Amino acid sequence: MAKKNQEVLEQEQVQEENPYIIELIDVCKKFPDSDSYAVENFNLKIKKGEFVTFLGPSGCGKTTTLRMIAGFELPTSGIINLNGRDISLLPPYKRPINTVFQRYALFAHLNIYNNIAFGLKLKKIPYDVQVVDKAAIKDRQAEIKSLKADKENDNSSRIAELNSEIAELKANPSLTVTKFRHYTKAEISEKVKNALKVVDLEGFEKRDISTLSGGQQQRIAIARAIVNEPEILLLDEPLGALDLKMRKEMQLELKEMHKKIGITFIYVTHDQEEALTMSDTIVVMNDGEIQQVGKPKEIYDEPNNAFVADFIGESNIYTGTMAKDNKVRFLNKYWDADPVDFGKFPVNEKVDVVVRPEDIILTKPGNGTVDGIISSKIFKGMHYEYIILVGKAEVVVQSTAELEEGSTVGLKVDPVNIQIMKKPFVSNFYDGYISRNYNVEFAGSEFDLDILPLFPGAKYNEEETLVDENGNEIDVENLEINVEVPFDAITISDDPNASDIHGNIISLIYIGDHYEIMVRTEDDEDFILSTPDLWNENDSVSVIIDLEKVHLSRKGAKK
Amino acid sequence: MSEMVLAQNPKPRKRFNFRGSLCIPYGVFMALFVIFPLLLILYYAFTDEKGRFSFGNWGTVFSSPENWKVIGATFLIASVTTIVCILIAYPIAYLLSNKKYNKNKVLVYIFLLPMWINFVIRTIGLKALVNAFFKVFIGADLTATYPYVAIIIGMVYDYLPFAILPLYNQMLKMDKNQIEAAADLGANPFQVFVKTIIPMTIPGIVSACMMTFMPTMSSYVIANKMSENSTKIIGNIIEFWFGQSTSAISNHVGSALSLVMLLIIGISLLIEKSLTGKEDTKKGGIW
Repeated sequence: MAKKNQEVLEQEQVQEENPYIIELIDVCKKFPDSDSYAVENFNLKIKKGEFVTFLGPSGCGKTTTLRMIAGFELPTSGIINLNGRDISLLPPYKRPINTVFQRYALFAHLNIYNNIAFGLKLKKIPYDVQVVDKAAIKDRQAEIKSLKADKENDNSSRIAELNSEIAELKANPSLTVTKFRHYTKAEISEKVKNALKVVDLEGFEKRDISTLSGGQQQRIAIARAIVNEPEILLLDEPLGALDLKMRKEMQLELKEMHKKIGITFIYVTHDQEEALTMSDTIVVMNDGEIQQVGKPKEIYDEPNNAFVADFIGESNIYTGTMAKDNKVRFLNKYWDADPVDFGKFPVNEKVDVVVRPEDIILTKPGNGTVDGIISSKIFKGMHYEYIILVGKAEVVVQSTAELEEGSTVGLKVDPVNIQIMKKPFVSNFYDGYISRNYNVEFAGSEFDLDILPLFPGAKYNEEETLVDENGNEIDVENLEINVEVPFDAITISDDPNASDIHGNIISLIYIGDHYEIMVRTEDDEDFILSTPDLWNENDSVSVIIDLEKVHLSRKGAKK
Repeated sequence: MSEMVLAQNPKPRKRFNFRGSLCIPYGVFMALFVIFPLLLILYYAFTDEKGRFSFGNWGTVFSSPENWKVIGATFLIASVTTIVCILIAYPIAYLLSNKKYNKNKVLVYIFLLPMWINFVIRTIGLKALVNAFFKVFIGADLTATYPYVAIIIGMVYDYLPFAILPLYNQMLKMDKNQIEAAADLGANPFQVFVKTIIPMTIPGIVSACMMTFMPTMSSYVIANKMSENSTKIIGNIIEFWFGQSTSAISNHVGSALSLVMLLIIGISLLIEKSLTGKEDTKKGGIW
């Protein structure tokens, strides 16, 4: 008994030291039929009882991450710790984690009761029994035997003592043994009843799955998962198939349920509003990587980068430049920057500037930092949404004031509401090398670029061989070089014959007066460009590179 | 005036129902090739050579102990063949339905390819192969020493594709989410198989059973070839009465025998159906 207590104590200590129920450490996942990582360097710690949401566009790796936690996918590398123990290679049925699937995945051949009882019937629960300590009896019997063999001394009193000890041991089972058993029928029935109560479908036990509406099926799926009392409940876009009204209701109910049963929820969605409504913590993901982790308000108010700002809520995003005296220049004006951003960026650094539409204050012309003309006005119930033209750039503003289209207004913003963030990309950089015929290969294609500037003093001789100033041949084949392709050197076209590089648009962000578009080729090379034209995500495009603007430099050389 | 009235109350004319008329060819076909032959068999089975109503044919059929033996053997062969076919076909169909092992559906074609070859040639080829193989173990032709085993091997070989196809189709339709859900709820791979995969494939199993049981009951070429004409199944006797016998009553006895076979198949299918319980009829299979 004492030993057991100590174990319990140790366990409690471990739990005290480690407040995180689940930790993902450097988790990567690459599918065998793909060249790129679906999830890359995923690091996250989740506290017990938290409601965490993985939020991101489709294909961002959120569901893959969830499936790795559930055990349906194994990580290519990395560790998934559950209560400090690595479970990354454990099969799903051995994990104390249950999932609510996007399409419910209820068992069509079972009724509701048997659906919910499915996990309970399989589960084995430990229980302690007191058994006779046979080893202790054996010890004593052996002693009696040896005492009896000893004819020289009179051991009868000792033997009697041992015999009475044996009798006592037999009468009082003292050894605690942990055994496993299944739940009894009554226990299962009780638990199923309670689970149905939690999801508000009491009395539905006998009904068939096919008689239920989508919302009811969803509730049964939730009941089937929570009835097992998992340590973590995973929800994979569980409300995706419901209509808007039902979804809103279920959001609140899920939140309520989370409070009531107190287990950790990990929720996957692409709906930012859903994430903001329900979560304690939001993990914004894009392209297999975490963009930001934080409370809903933090993510909304202080987005880490333009992607997060664009994905969560409406935003005005501009390319700005840091100026002297803690000012930032965008929309051709100098604006006072947020004091927390002071000193974060060197002067003249290009930055992304994000201003939420509701944070822009409209004033009389000349009173604001910049003037603009109202080009459109939409009534949204609580407020008007204006699109205001400042030069060529558009500014979306939400305001309760009613103003006329075409009128000129002044715009100002409280410095704390101007979010300044590092530009994730300022140019495209590739690792390239020089091919046999003095062309440059990068991003999976060969380009006819002049490599002479890389070798000061070099020239081509009569045999078209590259030679240095002394006329010796320079061996440049496979020489590795850096290739920089500025955003403005790239254009895209929907004509598949326009170039040999083809890819799909994987992201596009509107930045004031232009779009910043990322194109990914089949070889997993990314091209970022800016264009005034609106494209759609997933469009297939040809990438055209203006070779005049491409900059080459030798590896190891200073930029 | 009368014209006015006519215009206001046009005579209700029966419209030609085009869609309904599309059924006519099938109706004619059914009547000619299903119902009429059945009635004919019924008529022959219950009449004697002079066309009088009689149970004499049934007496002929059931008074012969050899017939009883053959009917029993046929039922046994068909049952064993069906069970063996399902046992072999199930894992094959499972592998075929898994994209990991069957990327371009090439494997499916490989398993169905034997069906493109003439049935008799296939059986004769198999006989040679089986004999050569078993000679190593029993020192004699299997077809001569254990004709029933040889017949079952032949039947399994010939009807395996008929068992694989319905199972494969059913498994393609399987909801993979339910399999994951079962694992998620704590079912180990064996429990997942018993508790989700089998229930989900029951319509396929039923179809596969029928697709093998029915033809094995009635086929006689395989039995002929695989037993060197030494062993008879119902099909052989029916063939004897209709084909070889010159007795005036032959067609009548043959019809009675055919009805016996029909009844055995019908009853077996009913049992099969009741065993699978309240299976959803909409989900495919043959029912």
